[in-house]
Amino acid sequence: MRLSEQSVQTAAGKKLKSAGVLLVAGLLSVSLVGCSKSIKYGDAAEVETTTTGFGSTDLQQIAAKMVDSVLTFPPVVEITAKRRPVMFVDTIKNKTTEHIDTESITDTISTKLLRSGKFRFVDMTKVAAVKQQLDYQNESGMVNQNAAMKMGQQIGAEYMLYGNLSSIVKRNSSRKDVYYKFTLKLMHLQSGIVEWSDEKEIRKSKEKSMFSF
Amino acid sequence: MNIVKLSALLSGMVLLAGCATSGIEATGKTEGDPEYAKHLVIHNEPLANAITITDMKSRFKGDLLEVNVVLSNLTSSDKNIQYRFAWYDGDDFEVEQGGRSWIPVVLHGKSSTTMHAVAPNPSVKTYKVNVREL
Repeated sequence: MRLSEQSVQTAAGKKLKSAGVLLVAGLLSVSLVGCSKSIKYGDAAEVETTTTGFGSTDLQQIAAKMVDSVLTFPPVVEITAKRRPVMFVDTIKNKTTEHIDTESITDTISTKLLRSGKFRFVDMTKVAAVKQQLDYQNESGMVNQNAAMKMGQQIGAEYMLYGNLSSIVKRNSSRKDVYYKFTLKLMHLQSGIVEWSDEKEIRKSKEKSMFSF
Repeated sequence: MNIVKLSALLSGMVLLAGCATSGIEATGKTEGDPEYAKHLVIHNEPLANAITITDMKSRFKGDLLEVNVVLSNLTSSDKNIQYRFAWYDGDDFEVEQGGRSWIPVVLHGKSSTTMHAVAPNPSVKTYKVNVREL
């Protein structure tokens, strides 16, 4: 009688164990399925429409328009025909409600302008590092003075690039509309005259889909 | 509801499959035989039946090549398209590869738009513009 009870208990235990194994295997397979994400590289130049927020396509469109515009503006063509004026980039004021890295926009614009061979730049974000290096070269006594870069020989910027990024956001129950306006200006530092200015407008909208999940 | 969701997904997939990555490719050269200076390659016939390149102009602004390509919508419905310029030097080497991104544009029914671009530097002698559906 005891033996038969034991055997029943053992059988029940085995069933429980196998059920447990099945459950663990099931969970494992589910978690494995959950982990099987595919990672792939995309085209950075592709149009990106994930949200109506400021994205890579907006940045690229703005930079392309601004660079094309400044390089073909007749007075600027005349100025850059025989020499490469020195510029510095001031900050772009972000007047939108979004957090946007406007330095990234000006980085792209200044890189394209520099690579066009028409302008040269001074980088105001590196002034402290340059000063530290020049102090080391000229005052530490460690550097051969014949090979040291001399203080007070830098070229001052002739032009300043600056601007604004603003947006107007409107929404109703079925639609969201975002309008961005990027304005860029080029000022001659000595005279204070704005030599060039242009704007890029972008409109993005999102309709609420009929089958929202 | 699930069936509706599924059918919506399926139709989305069909639409996606229908969005061909290829399109129309136009090349313009500033030098050489004028007869072959401009040519068009159609990789996507349905798209080419709906939109067409009606004009290609280029000029030098200073020493930089400036290009205007006119795109016309032959249909009466709006078309969402994208375009990208690529630049080549006198030896047909691509200049500033990847420097230009795809630009989205809405082409309204029976209307035209100008795709404008300026070469990234004075070495550019040939340009190529690709147009495809968004």
